[in-house]
Amino acid sequence: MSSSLEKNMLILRSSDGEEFIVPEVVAVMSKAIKNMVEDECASNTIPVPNVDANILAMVIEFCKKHDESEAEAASDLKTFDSEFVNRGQEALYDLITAANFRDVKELLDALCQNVAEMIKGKSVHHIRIQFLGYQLFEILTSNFIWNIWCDRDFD
Amino acid sequence: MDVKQSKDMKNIRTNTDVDEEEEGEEELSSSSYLPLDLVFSEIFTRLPVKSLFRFKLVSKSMLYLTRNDPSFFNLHLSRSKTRLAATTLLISVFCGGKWREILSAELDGGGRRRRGRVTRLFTMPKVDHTHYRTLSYDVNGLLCLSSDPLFNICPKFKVLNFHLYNYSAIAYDFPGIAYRVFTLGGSSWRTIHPSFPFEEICDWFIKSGRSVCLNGAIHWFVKAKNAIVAFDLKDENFFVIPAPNCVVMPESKSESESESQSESESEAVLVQVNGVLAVIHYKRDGSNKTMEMWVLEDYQRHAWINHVITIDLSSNNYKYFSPIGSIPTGEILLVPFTSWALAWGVRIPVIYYDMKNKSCRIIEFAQLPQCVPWGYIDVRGMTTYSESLIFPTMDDQ
Repeated sequence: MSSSLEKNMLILRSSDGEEFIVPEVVAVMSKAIKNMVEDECASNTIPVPNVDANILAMVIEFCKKHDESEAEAASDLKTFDSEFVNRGQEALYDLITAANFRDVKELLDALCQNVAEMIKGKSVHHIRIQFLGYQLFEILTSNFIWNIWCDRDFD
Repeated sequence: MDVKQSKDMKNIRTNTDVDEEEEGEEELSSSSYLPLDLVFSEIFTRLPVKSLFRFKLVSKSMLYLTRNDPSFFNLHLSRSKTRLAATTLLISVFCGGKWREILSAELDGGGRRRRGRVTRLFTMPKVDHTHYRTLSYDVNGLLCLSSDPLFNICPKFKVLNFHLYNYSAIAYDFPGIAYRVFTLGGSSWRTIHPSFPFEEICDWFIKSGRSVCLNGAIHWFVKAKNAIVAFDLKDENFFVIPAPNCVVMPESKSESESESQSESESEAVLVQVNGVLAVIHYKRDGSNKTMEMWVLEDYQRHAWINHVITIDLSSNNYKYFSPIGSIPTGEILLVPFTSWALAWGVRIPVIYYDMKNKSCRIIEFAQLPQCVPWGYIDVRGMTTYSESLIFPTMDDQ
């Protein structure tokens, strides 16, 4: 780690103004930031809009781990990944959006694979609610109406 | 009851209101929903085919996606090629000398256990007293089964699919070979006249073993010429890739034995390893623990790189193996020779060779399904298979 501290550091500023000091090697795991660095339009502080401090900290944690353990055993990384992606839906979605926006491939892969594993056995209704913005009450009511229709007296 | 019904009426109203809006449009404002394009391109492409077919009912765009969106198909395929769970081992079994079953086995063996389970996929149809013998390598989720070893069938790399077919060599003793091409989705065979790289044609098709379809071409390894003959599916012509100068594996015993015998026992197969061509040389009798693998790293410039595979198995029972290619974890699979599977009865051992750590492990596929008779099975071909949405009658575009 001492060698990486000596390397160039970058400052990332999240949407709510918090700043993170990150080694360049870690920051450039995001393709978007890498392009900025290569084009030399990143002077010292790189704004990361749309990503708040909480999520940015998680992304940085992931990138750091992956940078450190590049040469290490892959199984360690796997357990770290599986623990990392084990979060609530809200955080997961925010992370996916951030990873997609900043173009962090490994993170996006791990997250999306996790979501896919979660939903692969779900019902069609579940998918509609989860991704297409159908509301839960719609489905409940559609069943409810159907039940009333079936139960009603025809007179 | 009245209250309930009025509530109900309210709900009906809101329900119709939502229905009138474009489905899936309004969630972009909400933070707990993902953008739809991200859902489709990143999450749904990682789903198993089974789930995707169930989710056809979710919306019209999903139906379109799973039916006729080639870009989605290709993305899904490229992801399932890197996912171990999406890859299975297909085993073609000749049961009781009578009929053929295609079985599938989970490659991870269901976790870390050393025993894997095998399930039945389907029974091969029997057409005109011919049994389908050869099982091709999987190409984009499509497999070819053919009855004649002279059939060298292989679908094309992308969406268009061709069959290369050769009908004359032995049966009719024609001087030449007729080549016919079949485009999947089309209706008839088309005869083509490619110029052939070698004079003596008859032998190599038969001896070359299974073909590998890669980079839009079908490849065969011609041992006698030490070259790879490839058929370009776009130009519909043959070209040759020179194979590496393989030194026959170092073996102290071979000198004392007759040379011709050791020659015949050394085998070379063409396989696909992590998306590139590789030629693996090995001894058929398993007397030598090392295999020599040449990987075609640069397809255009024909640059081969040499690796040595050392398989050191503590148990002496496992000797006769032949490589069939790599799986998403980067391991090379070695399966028992067809003729030797019999001796082991209902267990099918498979070796996983890890190229990085130069180590190997064995998973025994036992617990064969009921359809396979006890005690007598004859394994006639194994291949890895990564699932895809691509179907044979798909249109070109």
